[in-house]
Amino acid sequence: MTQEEKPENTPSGGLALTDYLLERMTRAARIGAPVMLLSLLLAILNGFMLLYEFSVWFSALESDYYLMEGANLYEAFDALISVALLYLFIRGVVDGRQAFQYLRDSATDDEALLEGNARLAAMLRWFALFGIVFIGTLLLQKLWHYLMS
Amino acid sequence: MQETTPLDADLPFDASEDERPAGQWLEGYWTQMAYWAKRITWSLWAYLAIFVYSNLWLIEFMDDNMMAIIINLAFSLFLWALPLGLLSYFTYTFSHLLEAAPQTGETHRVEKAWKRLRQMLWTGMVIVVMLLVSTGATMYYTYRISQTQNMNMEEVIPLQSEGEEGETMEYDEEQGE
Repeated sequence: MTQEEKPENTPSGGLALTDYLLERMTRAARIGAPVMLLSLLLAILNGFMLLYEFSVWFSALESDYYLMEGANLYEAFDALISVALLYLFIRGVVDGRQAFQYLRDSATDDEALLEGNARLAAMLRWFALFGIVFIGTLLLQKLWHYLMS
Repeated sequence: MQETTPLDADLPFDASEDERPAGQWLEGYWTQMAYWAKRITWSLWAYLAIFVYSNLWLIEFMDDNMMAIIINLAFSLFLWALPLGLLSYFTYTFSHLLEAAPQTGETHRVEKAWKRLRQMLWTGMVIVVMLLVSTGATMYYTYRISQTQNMNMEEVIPLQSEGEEGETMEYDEEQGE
């Protein structure tokens, strides 16, 4: 639910915004920002590797390409999943970077505090989806190799 | 206090008397964080299980090359599984604390959860640096291999049987001597 849909921000669980908590958020933001930058660099490098693999794959393609022939189906599936994983990871990194930028000012700015927490929840959602798809693919690959052996 | 932000709107709050309540929105975000962090933990546990199983499978070949396999296991388990195990532990406690906090109303659980998030991020930094080194090394060796292949394709060395008749004869004569 977005902020606009909620009528008001009412207290519910009795949790308080202590100075200690706000300090924790600011400290987390200080380490989170460089982690997200490094993660972005990692995503870019892996994107280049993926492009290189695609170029090798396309250059080896023959004119009469059949999806169900040889390992073509496996290669096409692998390529699609790699692109999907890269997309999920980058979305997580972008949301994380914005979250930590907002959280850096959370001690003095309430809008930044809310927006930072919202983005952090989004970052965790994208990373969780990345993890689920990654594990699913890993298990499918193991099953594929088991069936083909 | 003036009502200038959504966080302050309609809250029975006096800064001089008590601490600000977190409010529905923040608690909602923390619940979402706990939900997704738990899924991340499950993914990490599943990955660790697959990774450790794949490495322990090498023990079957222990008799052939014991030292190589012990070194491989030590490196893979300590350098890769240990940071991942720590990350999964911090993520689990982060999600557990954030999940329990709104139910019990204990703010110190949220404070602890944010401390765990910071530990998660430090571990995440170690993992990302290791992955960057690994990706860099893969890119470097891929480049080296592709360069070697290109050089081989440019300098086509004819087979002896494909050479001119004279050259072959000369070679034969040299061999004969």
